[in-house]
Amino acid sequence: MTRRFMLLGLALLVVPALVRGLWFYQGLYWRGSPVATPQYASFTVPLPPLSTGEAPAARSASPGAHVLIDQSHANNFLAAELEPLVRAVSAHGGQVEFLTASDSGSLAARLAAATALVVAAPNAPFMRDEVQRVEAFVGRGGRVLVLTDPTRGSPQYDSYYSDTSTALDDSSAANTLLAPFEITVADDYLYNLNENEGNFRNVLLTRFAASPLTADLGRVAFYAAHSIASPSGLALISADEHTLSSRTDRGGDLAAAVLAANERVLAVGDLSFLSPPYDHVADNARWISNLADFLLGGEPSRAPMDFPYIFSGPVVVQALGELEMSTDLIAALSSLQSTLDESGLALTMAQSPEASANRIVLATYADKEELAPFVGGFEIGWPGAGGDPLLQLPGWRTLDASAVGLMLVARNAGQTTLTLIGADGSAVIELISALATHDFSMCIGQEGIAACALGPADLPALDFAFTDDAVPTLDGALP
Amino acid sequence: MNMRAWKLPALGPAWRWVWLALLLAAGLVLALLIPRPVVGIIYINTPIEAVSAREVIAQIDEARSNPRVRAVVLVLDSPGGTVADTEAVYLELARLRAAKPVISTIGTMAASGAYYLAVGSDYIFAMPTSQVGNVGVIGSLPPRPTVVEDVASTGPYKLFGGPRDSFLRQLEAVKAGFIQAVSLGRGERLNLTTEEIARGEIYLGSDALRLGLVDALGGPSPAIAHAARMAHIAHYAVADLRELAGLPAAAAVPFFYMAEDGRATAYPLEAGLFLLYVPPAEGRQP
Repeated sequence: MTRRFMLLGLALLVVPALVRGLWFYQGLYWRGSPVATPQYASFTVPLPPLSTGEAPAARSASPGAHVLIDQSHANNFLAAELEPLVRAVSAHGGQVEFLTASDSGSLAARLAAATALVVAAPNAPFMRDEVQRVEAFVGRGGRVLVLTDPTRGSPQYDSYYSDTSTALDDSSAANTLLAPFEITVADDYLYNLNENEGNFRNVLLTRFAASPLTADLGRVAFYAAHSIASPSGLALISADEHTLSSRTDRGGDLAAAVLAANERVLAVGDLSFLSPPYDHVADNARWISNLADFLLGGEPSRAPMDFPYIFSGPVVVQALGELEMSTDLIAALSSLQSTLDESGLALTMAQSPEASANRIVLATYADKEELAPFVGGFEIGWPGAGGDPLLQLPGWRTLDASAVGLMLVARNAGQTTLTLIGADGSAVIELISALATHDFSMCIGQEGIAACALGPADLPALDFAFTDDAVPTLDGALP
Repeated sequence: MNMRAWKLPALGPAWRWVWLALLLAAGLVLALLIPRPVVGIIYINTPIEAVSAREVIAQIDEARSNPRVRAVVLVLDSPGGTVADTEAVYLELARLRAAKPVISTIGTMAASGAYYLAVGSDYIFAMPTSQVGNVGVIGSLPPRPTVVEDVASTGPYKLFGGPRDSFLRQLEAVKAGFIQAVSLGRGERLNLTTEEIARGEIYLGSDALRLGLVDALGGPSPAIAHAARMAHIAHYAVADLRELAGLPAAAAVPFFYMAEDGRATAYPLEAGLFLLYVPPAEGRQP
């Protein structure tokens, strides 16, 4: 009885707690495995691939190599950012000049002096006439480098509707220039989440087409780059299949640099690789050196209208035949000397200049025999001795030689000869004046040759037109 | 010792009932000493920054030390926040999970740093249209080093913190930690590759379920029930851990940059590294 009483008491003491405990707690929480957290100490900041160091020695620039860098199209870069490229061009003997929007000369006019054009991150479209001049420039042998960059757009504000902005990248403006060369810059950026240069948008590129531009390159790094397409061009630098375009999130056959137009136009999808410290990552220094070589390799043929940029050194005037050194001729030459002087070019007179000298040759149609060494490559049909006044140029209709003067430009081994031919001394003086004042309004010309109406405004004298026949260029040694 | 010596003294019937009643009363009192279990709720509905992180950590401490709290539910509705504060909360959650289950439930959004915290829990609920994911790091690059005439310093980066390039590379190291946290937290439930996670996409809750970024669709109620099941408790109470921790009501802390017209932008007020989702509709950067 006592025992049962004690058990009952114990139950009364324990059971309420037991019931309550089981009411609330139906088991024990037990974690089978410890909670794992990231190994933070193992995550290190990725370092850039070591630079390949100084670029190999490059060839020297041709005389007169002149690189024009365009800053007149709302270009979104600082001149200092191109410093490594400018330094490489200068180191190889080239001249560099910036064209800003406030400069007096237009792009078309300044191209006359250039052997290469660099356009970086443009944000204003190229006008039709500018594109045509660049096309002509490339056609003459000039080099064009277009650097685009997805990070160099400009915000377009829509304050009327939403007070927000949309960032437009530079591909639209660049494409206005590149379209004639069948190059298209996509409004995207390349990225690689697997293997990159410190960030997904910094891509490492290892696929290079065979070209002097890719000589000695094993790997270059681009820091946000557009993809570029060209059906007729050469994909100079391509991405691997793990590198994707932001536009499609797909990879394969994506090029970041394309060479087109007979290897005269190079479009690159990145600009940042030029700027320190990225210019010394991987093989970027060599790539920049190769770009400088590319820019210095252009040697565009000149038209007479490109005067005085057709000359890159001192000029000697040589008069042929019986051309009288009249006061008017001296005055015209003086004016010409001043014009050349403004361009840093000296003008001197000589009866028999050295063969290597740049020269301006003055002559009349009557000096046919003496002119022969200078105009042999142009295949000109001279006015007949029997009073036939007609002048025949290949690819042109016949011209009235008494009212038309000719300007011929020939280049040979770095030496340039400009030959001015008129019916008489006064015609030659008019041609000189046109050069001195850079007034070619009465002239029509194409590669290497121009015909100018002389005397009182006698436009019918220029009653000629181009035919479809190609104009031969001067080929052969000059005296 | 003779056991008979321990026999209760002979009691009369009345006294026996009194004695039993006393024992029952003692038993009931004893039973009442067994606390009703609590599922603690931690609300994270602000950016994760120094103040909010400190308060969340205080609630986690309370959950860990309070024996009544048997499970914790994180109610997330946040675009993320600073890296260091997010990591601090994440690591405290890991300590808590060693002792008690932690369940997350996502309201409108658990993006970036908020999702970092979600993967630090045992189970994740989301609404079908919750915004989930956005794994990655953002930060504004420091200015290009220049010489400042009126502020003297002792090194080229004393005023700027470091080269811009170094800052960019730091993002990768932080991202690696985030991605590993996702991999560890989701384990085999995850149907995305590391590369796909690193894209930084933000998913709808229904998509997130398919991709293994969350475990089930549902709000706080199923999350609380799931937490209780994991903790093996029933007839539990639900309590706001902020109140249990004795914290005052949350005060608004300036975190986002205010535009000149007084509008709050989606961009942080201060420079730094962030596990933060910035809605693209905001448009113009400050």
